[in-house]
Amino acid sequence: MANSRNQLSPPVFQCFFSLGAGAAAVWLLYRHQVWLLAATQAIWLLSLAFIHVRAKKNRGLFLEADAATYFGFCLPFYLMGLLLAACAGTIFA
Amino acid sequence: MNAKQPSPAIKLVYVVGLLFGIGIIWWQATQLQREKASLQWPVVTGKILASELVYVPGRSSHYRADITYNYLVNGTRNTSHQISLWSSDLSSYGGITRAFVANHTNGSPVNVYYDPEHPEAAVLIPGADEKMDWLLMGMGGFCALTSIGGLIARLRKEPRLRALLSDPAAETRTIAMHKADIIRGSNALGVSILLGGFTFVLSAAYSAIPYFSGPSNLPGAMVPAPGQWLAGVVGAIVAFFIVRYGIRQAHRAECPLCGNFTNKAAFKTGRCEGCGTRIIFDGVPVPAAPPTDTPRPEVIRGFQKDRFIDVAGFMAFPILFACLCNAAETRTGPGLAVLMTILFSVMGGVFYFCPQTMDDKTPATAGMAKAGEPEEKTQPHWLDFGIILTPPVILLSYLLYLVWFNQALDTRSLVAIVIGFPLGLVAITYICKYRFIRDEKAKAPKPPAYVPLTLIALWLGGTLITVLFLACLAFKLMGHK
Repeated sequence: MANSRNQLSPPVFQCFFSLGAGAAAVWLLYRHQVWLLAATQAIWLLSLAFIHVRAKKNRGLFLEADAATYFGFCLPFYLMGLLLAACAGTIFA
Repeated sequence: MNAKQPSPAIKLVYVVGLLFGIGIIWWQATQLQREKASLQWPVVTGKILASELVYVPGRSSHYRADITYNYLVNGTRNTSHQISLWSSDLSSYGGITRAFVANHTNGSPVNVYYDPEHPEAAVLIPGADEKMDWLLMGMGGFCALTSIGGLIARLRKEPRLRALLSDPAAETRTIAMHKADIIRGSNALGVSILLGGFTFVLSAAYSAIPYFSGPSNLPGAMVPAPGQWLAGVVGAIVAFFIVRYGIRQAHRAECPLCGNFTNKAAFKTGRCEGCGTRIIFDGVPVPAAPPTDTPRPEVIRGFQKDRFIDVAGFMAFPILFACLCNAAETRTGPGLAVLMTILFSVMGGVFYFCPQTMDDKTPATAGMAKAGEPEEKTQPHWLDFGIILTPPVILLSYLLYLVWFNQALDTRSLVAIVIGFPLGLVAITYICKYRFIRDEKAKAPKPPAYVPLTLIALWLGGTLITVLFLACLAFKLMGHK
């Protein structure tokens, strides 16, 4: 009888993944590793596409959460990851 | 009728912690064994072909040793750049790097330790960075022991919790508590964890510096100050007592029946989250909440193909992502990717076996178009979303440009950001406010939760970024580098 309110739920996990994807993008950009940058960002996008495709088959729900929740929260988290890592990069560069 | 069971999620969290700790120990123990094996490798005399101290600029600027040497094994001449198994180029080892390059000049002879099974693999410094390996193993051990302690405490608590949940009088059972006790207890716990955590991190950072500076027997290695480790121990003890004080204060906020820590959320529900007992605060009963039709989901038993595909696909992407990031950073070896794979797999198991309770706001028919509802109604929300994200995207584009060219922000850019970014935030807040009021008057559907939450997150993030850049600007204007 798991309760969603007090544990790490799939949308929260996806948010942290997005945050990491944003930070990793800046890190790889800084190191000029373009192929790895493209690959990691493609993986993040594919994960969202996977959620979208699977949610379509289940009335818009993916792992008990509305698919829009994943997209709605993941994009700001991704941007936040990018922004914080870019700030750190340009301050300490 | 099935007896109610306590949530398995907490136990699973401890199991994840335990596996994570064991994983770190296993990874470091394997690394230590591999590095120590190089002490038994045969030695030949080689020659330094190139030796240079290279400054690596950037956010974590450091020196590395650029060494090229060759050696003869079984008539074959091999060339290598590897200095040791724990660091191939002594990056970020300060004094050791400088001393090493000074002692290994161009053309000088050098002892080369080569792997007898793979003679092309060789090092100039055999052995392991034992301090670092043991430090990480200690951290893994701490994580594993804490998880075991938590798991034992949870297992001891479960029979009582099970009995309370299965009690036929569970619905009508009541206890009396004081709101002031709960507020004081939860505040004390929060403050003590913050203070204790801060003290611990500060003292650990101070005392752990020598552990990150390479083996102490090498020339140029950092010698720890006499009281350095003592400061770490004292800091850890102080942190322990601060947290212990908070936990003791938090006892007054515990449910007297199941021992569950009760927080302010119970003021609204009027029930203990652990055992479901009704709580009467200060003699006044909380009005009962209307019953919900949402069923509490059971733990998944057996194999469900669709759910398995969902979870497997969902966790495969982060695992792949971790492996790629690990490939970009060769210094850590494959251990980190293995650890993350184990961690994500266990989390996938949690997501598979413990379905989430449907949120009250999540419609059961999400995504299905309601009859007669025009689709255009969702468009303004995306427009709001786009407006909110405009200032960070503009700032981001400029920062990413600087990152690509490995440049730091100059004073003029800092001034522009410190003034322009908050102004941008104020402008979009006013635009959104105007649009929300207009939609409310037109009785348009409310925007989804992530739109106002993004605005709040942007304010919080924007404040942090502005303060950070303001501090940088102040430092620059004061003449610091």
